[in-house]
Amino acid sequence: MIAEVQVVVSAEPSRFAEVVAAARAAGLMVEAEHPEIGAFSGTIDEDRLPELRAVDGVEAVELERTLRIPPGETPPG
Amino acid sequence: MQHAQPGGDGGHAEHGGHPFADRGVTKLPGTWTGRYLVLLDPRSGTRGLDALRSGAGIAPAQRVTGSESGGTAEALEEAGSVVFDGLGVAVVEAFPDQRDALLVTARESPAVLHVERERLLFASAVSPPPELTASADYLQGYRDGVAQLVDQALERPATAAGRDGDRAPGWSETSMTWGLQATGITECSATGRGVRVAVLDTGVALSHPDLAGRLGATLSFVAGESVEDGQGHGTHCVGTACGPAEPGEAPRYGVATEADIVVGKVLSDQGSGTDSQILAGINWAVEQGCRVISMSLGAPTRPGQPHSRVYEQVARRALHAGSILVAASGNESDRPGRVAPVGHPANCPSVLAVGAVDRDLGIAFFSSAGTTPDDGQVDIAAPGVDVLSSWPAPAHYERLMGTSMATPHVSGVLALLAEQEPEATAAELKTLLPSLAHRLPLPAADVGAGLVRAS
Repeated sequence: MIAEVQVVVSAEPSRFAEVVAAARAAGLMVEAEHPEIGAFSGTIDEDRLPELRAVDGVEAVELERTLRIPPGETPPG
Repeated sequence: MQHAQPGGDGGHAEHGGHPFADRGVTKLPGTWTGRYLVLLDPRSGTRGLDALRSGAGIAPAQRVTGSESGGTAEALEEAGSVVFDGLGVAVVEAFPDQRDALLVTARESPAVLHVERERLLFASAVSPPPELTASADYLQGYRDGVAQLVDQALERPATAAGRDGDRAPGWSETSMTWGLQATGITECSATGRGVRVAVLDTGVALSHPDLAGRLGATLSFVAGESVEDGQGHGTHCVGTACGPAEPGEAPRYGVATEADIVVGKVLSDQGSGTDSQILAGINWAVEQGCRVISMSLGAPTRPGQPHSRVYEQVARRALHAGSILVAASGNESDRPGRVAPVGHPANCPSVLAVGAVDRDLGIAFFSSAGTTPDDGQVDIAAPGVDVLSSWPAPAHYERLMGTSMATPHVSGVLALLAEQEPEATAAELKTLLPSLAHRLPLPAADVGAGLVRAS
């Protein structure tokens, strides 16, 4: 079974819709689009990542991280 | 791996959040005398000393002019207090129970420019210490030390840091938190009026009496959770960046007191969020026209780990659209033993990365830093220890430490700068900010350009 991974992608804002459509065709299930900052996110089969990265207009594809409140910032007691 | 927990049970007692007047000052046996050096405004005649006498019961000082070193020795031994007329400096004796009154009086009297606890450091070149004998050599060295103090203080007259001294015995928080004083907010007339500041965090306590009337757009990007802050962290960060000029039951703790507050909840009430949520929050804040986007959040990185290309592109686009991304450098260090690299996304070159300093203006033990030239770098530092700000009910206020607490200080100062420079682009503001920083005698890898400063 092929693992599905969550990714974030940056794309050229000048042709944002076109790049998102091409990413879909490359296997990305697009979940959110952020045209103001040229980014979108979604899930994709891990083995299709090279295909997504090769899409014309895609600048970077990264596996989604979890960010947190930095450690130690809770009140005492 | 377990790191020191700044606010946890283990680390709190040692690094503590208690507002002792001399917290953060290195206490070595025999380092201090019982006296204080007082820098007087030369235009105010005897008003400064009069205030110290009436406000703190400080004994009348004997006047010393020219080179009456013998008289100085006698005065120090007998009266405990002297005034060097030519220098505009007094050395006054204060007993432990007079200390707080002395500091409060000094702060409130405009005729007193600066108070610093007297050290034996000045006397170290000429022993024995002054309590035993006061030789002419000692006094000569002493006077040189005082002259040096005056030079240092006069070089930085415009900053609160200069007023209270980089290693001042403490900050009185009667009317304003130490962080606002150290960053020069005291002298800044800008309020951030008309500037939108977004805080992307755990949301905000919507009914907090200090904030409720100030909130603009709010939106949650966490599924199943409203923007109401069920954690507290977001409320604290909002308060530091944009809290009011006159809070209900606390000294002033907010930097940009009239900025428009925009709150995006991108971290859950458990304090975590994904890249997707954070990017959605950034996109929304840019759409909202926020000049500053404050992010007290992150993910640890390994030494040598490249920064996110996605966030770097996003940060550049945000800058083009008029928004500056500010992010916490991270709390993963445990100094002096371990210094951790700047976390994600603060390690992106186009994101303004903020480190934390303590009340002594030393690097905070937890503050992450540029560990190699190729890793992410800290751009600027801000107060991040013992930071008082707003908190959800029932407490309403809380003291915390972390680079998260430093970050909204910088975001607030950026809002002040945006008000002062309405024609400046976001990229220009981002460049201007570090050039205005108060330089610190610390490695740039730790504090970047230095301590953020309003002007």
